Amino acid sequence: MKHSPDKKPFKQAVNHHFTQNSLDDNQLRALSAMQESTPNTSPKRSKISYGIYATALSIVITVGIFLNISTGKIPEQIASEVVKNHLYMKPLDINSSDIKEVSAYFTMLDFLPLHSSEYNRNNPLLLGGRYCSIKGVTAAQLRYKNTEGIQETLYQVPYDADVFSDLPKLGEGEPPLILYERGLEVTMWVEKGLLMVASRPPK
Amino acid sequence: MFSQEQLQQLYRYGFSLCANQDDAYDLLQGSLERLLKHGCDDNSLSYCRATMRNLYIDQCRRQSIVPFHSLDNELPADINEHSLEELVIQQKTLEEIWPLFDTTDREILFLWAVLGHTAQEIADETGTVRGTVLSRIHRIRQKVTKYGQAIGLVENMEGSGS
Repeated sequence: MKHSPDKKPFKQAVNHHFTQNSLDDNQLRALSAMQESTPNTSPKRSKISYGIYATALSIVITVGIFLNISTGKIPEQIASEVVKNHLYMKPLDINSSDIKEVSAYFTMLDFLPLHSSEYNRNNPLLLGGRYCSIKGVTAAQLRYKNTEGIQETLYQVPYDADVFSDLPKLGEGEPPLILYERGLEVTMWVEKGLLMVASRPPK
Repeated sequence: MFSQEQLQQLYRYGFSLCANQDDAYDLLQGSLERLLKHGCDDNSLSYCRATMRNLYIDQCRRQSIVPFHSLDNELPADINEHSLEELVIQQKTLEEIWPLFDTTDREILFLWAVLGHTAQEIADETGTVRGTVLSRIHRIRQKVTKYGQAIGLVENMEGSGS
């Protein structure tokens, strides 16, 4: 059973390969919150356990918010996540240039993706959409082609200042926030209760 | 419903199918939404894994991808689930040869190495027969030894080392 010291049993190596991949705190928090926000039909859970879960959840959320505040830079985190998604350009779940048809596809969202007047000022062509997430919150990714034929992505997610920080609100006359990440221009603003994040090559 | 530890385990199962962290998260999230939406009373991990598997297959079909390839049941007489346990390998080597594994290989490796399933348990969970699982294990072993031994970084525990 002797083998070289830097080698390990295959099973142990495979186990290590999988366990080095873990959900991060934001993802865990989002999945836990998703479970708690949906009524469970199981009769096994008592009111006491609901209380314990609620307390634990509030602690997790509080710690999460504190960590976000202490690290600052939430817009930069959003920009980084969005640019990563933009560069992946994964296949679309639905291909259509009709915003109504694309919106109707997203049945698993608790909001309706909409036609952004701010984003559509330059009349880009809608190509379709796919599910994605921003900071662990399920979002819609809409893909467009601009007038120069370059693909752009627009992300829409319900705006929650606790999760996404205080971002410019169009309705209050605030201009969109523009950041640059990995050579791409990322613009974010709040419109009709949704956080909009657009990613495109800079002009 | 699921504890954080259980969510991590489910995420890693998703990773075994998708081989991509973002896709694994999306798959787990989509599966939980599906379970919650339908108010399912079966909160077992195996039921959630089955949901993730079905959703993954749906997604692959939409993209015209064949998620799980069939395999001839050509099986050496001496193969069993312990065949893989005889191998030793450097972690770095495993990471290098990991792209050689397809979806079925990765799923079997997860169920075997992380959950400790036997070939029969893997067959039960994946809706196949034990012989097919053993064929897959044989194929995995061939991949590991072929590419690993070529650079001298895989050996058998009980063998001479090459």
